[in-house]
Amino acid sequence: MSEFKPHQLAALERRVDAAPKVRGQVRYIRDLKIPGMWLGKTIRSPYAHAHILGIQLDRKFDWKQVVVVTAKDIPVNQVAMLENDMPFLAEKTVKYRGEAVVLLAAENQDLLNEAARHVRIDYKPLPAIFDVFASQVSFTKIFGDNNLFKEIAISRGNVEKARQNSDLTIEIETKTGFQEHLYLEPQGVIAIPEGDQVTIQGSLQCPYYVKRAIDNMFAGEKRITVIQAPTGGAFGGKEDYPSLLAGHAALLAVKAGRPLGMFYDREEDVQVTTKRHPSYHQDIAYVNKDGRIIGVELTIFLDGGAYCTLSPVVLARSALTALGCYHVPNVRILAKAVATHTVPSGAFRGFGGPQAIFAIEMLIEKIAYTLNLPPDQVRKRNLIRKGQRTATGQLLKYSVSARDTFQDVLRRSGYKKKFRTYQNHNADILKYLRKGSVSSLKAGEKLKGIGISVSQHGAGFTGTGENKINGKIRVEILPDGRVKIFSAATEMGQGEETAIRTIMAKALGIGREAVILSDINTDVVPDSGPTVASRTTMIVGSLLIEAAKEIVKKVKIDLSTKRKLSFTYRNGFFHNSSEKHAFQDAAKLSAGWSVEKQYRHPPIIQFDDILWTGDAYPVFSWAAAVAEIEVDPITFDVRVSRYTTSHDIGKAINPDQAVAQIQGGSLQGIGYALYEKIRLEEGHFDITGFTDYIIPTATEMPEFEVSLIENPYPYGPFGAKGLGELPLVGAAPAVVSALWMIFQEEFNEIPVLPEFLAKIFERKTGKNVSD
Amino acid sequence: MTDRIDIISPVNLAQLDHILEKLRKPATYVAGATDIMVQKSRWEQAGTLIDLRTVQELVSTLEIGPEGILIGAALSFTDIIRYRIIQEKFPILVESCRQIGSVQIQNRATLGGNIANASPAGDTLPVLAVLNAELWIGPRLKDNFTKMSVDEIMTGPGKNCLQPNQYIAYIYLPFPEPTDPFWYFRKVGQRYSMAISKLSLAVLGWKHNNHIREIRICAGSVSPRIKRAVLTEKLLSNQELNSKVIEKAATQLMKEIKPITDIRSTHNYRKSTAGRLLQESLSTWARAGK
Ligand SMILES: Cc1cc2nc3c(=O)[nH]c(=O)nc-3n(C[C@H](O)[C@H](O)[C@H](O)COP(=O)(O)OP(=O)(O)OC[C@H]3O[C@@H](n4cnc5c(N)ncnc54)[C@H](O)[C@@H]3O)c2cc1C
Repeated sequence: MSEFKPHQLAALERRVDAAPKVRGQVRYIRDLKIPGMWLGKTIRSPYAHAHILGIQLDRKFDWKQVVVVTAKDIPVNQVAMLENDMPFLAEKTVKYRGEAVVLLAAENQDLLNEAARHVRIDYKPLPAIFDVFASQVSFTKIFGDNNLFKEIAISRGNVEKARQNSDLTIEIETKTGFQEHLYLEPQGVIAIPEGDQVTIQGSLQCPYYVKRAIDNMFAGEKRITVIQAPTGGAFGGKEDYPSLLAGHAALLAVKAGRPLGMFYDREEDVQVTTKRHPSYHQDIAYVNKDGRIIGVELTIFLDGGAYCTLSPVVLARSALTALGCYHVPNVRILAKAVATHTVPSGAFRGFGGPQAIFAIEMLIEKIAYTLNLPPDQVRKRNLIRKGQRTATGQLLKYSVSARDTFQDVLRRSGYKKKFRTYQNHNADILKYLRKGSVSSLKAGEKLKGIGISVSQHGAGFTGTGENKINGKIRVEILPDGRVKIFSAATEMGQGEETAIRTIMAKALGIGREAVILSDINTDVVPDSGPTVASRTTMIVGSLLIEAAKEIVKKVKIDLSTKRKLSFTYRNGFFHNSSEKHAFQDAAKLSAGWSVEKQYRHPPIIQFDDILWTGDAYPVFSWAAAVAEIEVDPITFDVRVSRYTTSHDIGKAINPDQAVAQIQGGSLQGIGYALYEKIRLEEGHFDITGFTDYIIPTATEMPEFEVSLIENPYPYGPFGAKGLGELPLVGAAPAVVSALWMIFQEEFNEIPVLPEFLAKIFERKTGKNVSD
Repeated sequence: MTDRIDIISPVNLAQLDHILEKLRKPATYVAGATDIMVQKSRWEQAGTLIDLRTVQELVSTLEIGPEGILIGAALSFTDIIRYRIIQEKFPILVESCRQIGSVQIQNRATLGGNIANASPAGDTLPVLAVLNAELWIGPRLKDNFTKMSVDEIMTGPGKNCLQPNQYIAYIYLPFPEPTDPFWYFRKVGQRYSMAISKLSLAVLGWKHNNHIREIRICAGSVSPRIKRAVLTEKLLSNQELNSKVIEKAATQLMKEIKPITDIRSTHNYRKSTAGRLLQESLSTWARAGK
């Protein structure tokens, strides 16, 4: 294991996609000028739940210049995902406000808007459910016969005994809110019909998800090609949603017989696309006085919204992450994904992990404050280590860094000392606030807090997922001796192109410029699985390493045959005592040859997804974070001033980019904790875009102290495991831990806004400021 | 729905007034366009835009007399912040301009736009109110501008009382009395930059023999129009600042303002925080005097 200091890098590895993006040369989907292209528009339900009584087109309007699509026009009206319960267009009932009912296409936006005014949809509104608890007992059925998309039970040891043998029972209920991805580029797709062929281009993460959905929609009667356009951010928001949007574009394009663009503006995008699942947790811990946790009972409810989308898998990750980084011998976890009449929840960086880690970390805080023990001590006492088992009985055999990351942030941040210093510093300020005598405060004085969290993220798909997907890649030797990678892994701003090319180049011992990437086009690249779940570097990367070995073998054979000599390969050269050939020269001999590789988990990894036992993930990435915050005693604004974090990611393929991901992801997690609030009013999100959905900006960026720990994963490329999601996961609990520290109060819900903090003292001073 | 938008770019006030006199269809003024760009429906339907940034007097003129200064309504915040005389005499205005949006926004946005846009959250409005700003409204009638105060021009959120052919030409700021003025401006946003105020407070005051001789107080984002807190001002005048007086004043201010709950904040928070801001400002002042 080695500790890596980013600033020690001699030369930073520049991202391969940086220059054209910085220069504004990249053409995003909206920038494409396609001759004859019409635009599409969606007419949506104003009700969260209603019967559709009828759709009328105004006879007085000239419909010849407009194309109209309703549910009746759709060969198979189901978006193929896990449950096929979501229609492309609602036919008889609408289940969320904003659900698509009618599609229109026309030459320009003005005509579209005009046409939309001449469509009348009659509804009979029905009672709607927005609450996961009400949903489970309601007679109104949204999904199946119990409104549950999925239920998971995990059990280990004997919780009943744990309760009897423990000193104390500690309970907490926690709650997390919606979160919007707010990728810079809103959703957009273009569909181009030519005979039986439909070509889809779009801003998307998972080209094969879209292909499968559109194949299925046309019942196999069209030939579908999906091409990824340059994608301006995704964060999971372009994992599931583009299947629906591409369906809309394809339906209109085919009916209109011309290219069709569906582009959401920001307001439509934030109103109707998926959000992070809100969550509710009821957690119980059975503990000893020294803080050791003997048993836990954790109950998780995720609000899945009106349709299933990916909720069962999000729920699985939540359940499998619920224990955080702790070793607890007796565990009962019950997790449910519940249907409500809300915009379907979907994938978002962390994928159920942030909710679960927030809940368990708040349980730890509660244990610490109940037992009057330092929060770091309770964590330390329970951290899991190599050789121990998780809630599913998974034996952690390698690459376990819960303790190393934890110790590292404690040391680097000076947590223990600051904890005491800040408590002393705060004492007077809190006294004044409790008395309500603000005028005694010194000018500019702030409350200071320090908080800690430990987190983990299972790398790659959950459970047996990877063995179902069987991701493939192909690598071809070009006539000039360069190698070309064909994979469906997508760049969306996270640095995938750089990582993939770097892995291949390092594996072959050649320069990165001698490795090129195919366009992401489903006619050309094999299905290497979706670009999600922090899996690409680890899974696709490991296939590249295998492919590289075969490439070297092949070129060596061809070269040996030609030269009638034997060669060894090292550092980019084939050589023997008399000759030396650079890889690229030698590879020309094997031009046109290609190798395909298909992923399967190493056989030691076994999971039972009926009993929920075994190896939930091939490996976990680990992180710890210390957040230092300042709270203004006048406005209760919270600022994260310094954020110290250690991440064990196995191996940093591009250290510079790894640090950037950690900073960005952590900031997104800080947003989740302190700023990003969406309220639901009768099923309607109260946000319209950047003005009212508040995300942190550069000004809110704390001073970051990032360190990378490289505890290798034996089956990853150069030891690498997942990174993309982990930084977000532990940020909110670290920040909120600092709030516990300052206010000595229970905090169990995010986001925490100044409005909430101000109320603490309104309560205490007994001053009622309302009229 | 319009196919074309006409843009008129008058070069000076005379030309602007002449054009307005001739104009038959409704027109929309544009200064920095930082508000109007995001209010798409407003300019899409306008048909005719009048660019005030090309009017020489409105961007470059800054007439300084012995009594006060005239700021061109289409001068950008960045320009305002850089003026020496404004820095010297009106640090409270500079402070509020600096907290608008971001540097990029400040480079374009104007004082005239902030006033005409009439948002209760406009950050310069409470400051202009405590500075007793006078708005000079064009076109000139017999060579004279119409004069108005900030609380007169604003009739409600997003609404001002200007006629279609009327515009803000200048903002006249009388120099505050130079003897030891105390000033305080604080903006409370949902984050530190690029944030619309959920609350702001501007205070300007003078003491005499340790007693408050005059104080002007105005909170932003707490009522549909910008109004000075006259009752709180009255309560404080001739008082000596001590913690009891400060607390009473805060209670009075909380009674006097009528904030609402909206997407950005709550009634309760705005109210209690306004009280705390006033306490902060007055106790700072009390300490500064010692
Ligand atoms: C990202 C962003 C952040 C922002 N942050 C803040 C902030 O922190 N605080 C804040 O107060 N505001 C903020 N704003 C709003 C805006 O920048 C200010 O209100 C600014 O002062 C408007 O000035 P402008 O010159 O750009 O106005 P414009 O957009 O040009 O005009 C605004 C309105 O006023 C009218 N108008 C303009 N000038 C005149 C005139 N001389 N006479 C008559 N009518 C006129 C226009 O017709 C229009 O209706 C922000 C805006 C954006 C886009």
